[in-house]
Amino acid sequence: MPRDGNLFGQLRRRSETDGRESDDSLLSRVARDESAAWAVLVDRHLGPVTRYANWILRDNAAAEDVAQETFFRLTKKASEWEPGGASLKTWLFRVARNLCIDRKRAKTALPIDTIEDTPDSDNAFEVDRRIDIEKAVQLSLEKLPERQKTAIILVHFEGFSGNEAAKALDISVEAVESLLARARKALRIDLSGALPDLLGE
Amino acid sequence: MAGTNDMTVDEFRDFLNSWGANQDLWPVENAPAAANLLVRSVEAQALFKAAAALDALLEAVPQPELSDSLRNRVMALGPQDRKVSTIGTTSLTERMTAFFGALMRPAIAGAAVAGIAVGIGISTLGGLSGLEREAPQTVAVTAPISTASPTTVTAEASETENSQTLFADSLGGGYTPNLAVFSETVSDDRQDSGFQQANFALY
Repeated sequence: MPRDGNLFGQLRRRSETDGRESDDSLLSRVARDESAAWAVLVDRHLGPVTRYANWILRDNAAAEDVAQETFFRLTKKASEWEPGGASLKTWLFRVARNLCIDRKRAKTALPIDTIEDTPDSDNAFEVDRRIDIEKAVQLSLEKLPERQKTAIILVHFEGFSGNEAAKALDISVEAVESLLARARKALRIDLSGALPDLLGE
Repeated sequence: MAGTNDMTVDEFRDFLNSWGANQDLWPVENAPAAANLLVRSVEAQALFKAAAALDALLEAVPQPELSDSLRNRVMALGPQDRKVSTIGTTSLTERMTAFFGALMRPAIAGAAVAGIAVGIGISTLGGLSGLEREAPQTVAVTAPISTASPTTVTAEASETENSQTLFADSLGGGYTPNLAVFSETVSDDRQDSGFQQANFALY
């Protein structure tokens, strides 16, 4: 039977229905200069936005800059936010994604220098197994085109629904499904070489 | 297959290829059909197991920690506590009016009491010589604005030959306090009419 599933995704989905104050409500309070509401929004969304930017840019400082700029834009948007419209979560990721794309355009593709010492086939099993897996998966994710990578990050890491990912990417749900399918297929092929035992190959 | 309770194995494969084995991520419109097939199809269970293996690898990717410095910077972008923002956004006049509203009422009340006391004292001294009566008398009432500010307001009652004027000293910055500065004539026969209490209609 199904395993427990992606813990991150489960927690995020559950948290959306646990009776906490809605983003719309918090934003209306932010528009009234309530710092406490801003703190809740920051704690709710800053982590995912920063993680996403880090995945795309592979540069901690740049990712933090993108996250900061995204939330700065939110402060300007708060007063004109329309409750019931686009969800804040998808709005934030859309802004962050555009900022990441701008940065990548301005600066040619960053080298994958944040992933240390990619293990080669000779010494892969001399280092900790868990770290090997992390690095292999990171490298495989790095190889994905940006849209496929974004789809995987939003759905599998951040717990977005198909509709939410579609809005964040400004595409249809069917297109999201296609991106996910291509991304997962590419990951499976890539990882089957490095981690065949873990993929049941 | 959307919205139906039936799903073929091929459809299930495509479904898993997109959404993986985490049922929390499955679209609600297809989840029941996929779950039904999973229960009754061995082939579907094998596909499910393979998809779960890939999901497990994705979960192995570490999630970077959020730095405190970033959180602090982003927090600073938003609204601050009202106490702070008020100082930053209101005029000096508004701020000083607020100060007086909160703190000067007791001081003014004290000044009134002192004024009465002075009046009583003058009345009592009414029988002294004219020289003594004509000498200027000054009453200074000093009230601290707050413990955090050394600023004081001095209300000085200076008795001249025919008038008594109370004025509030400036608070700096061209601020004119919203005091109804009173200047009233105290007749020479005040000892008959008594000391006229000032009108402290501050606000």
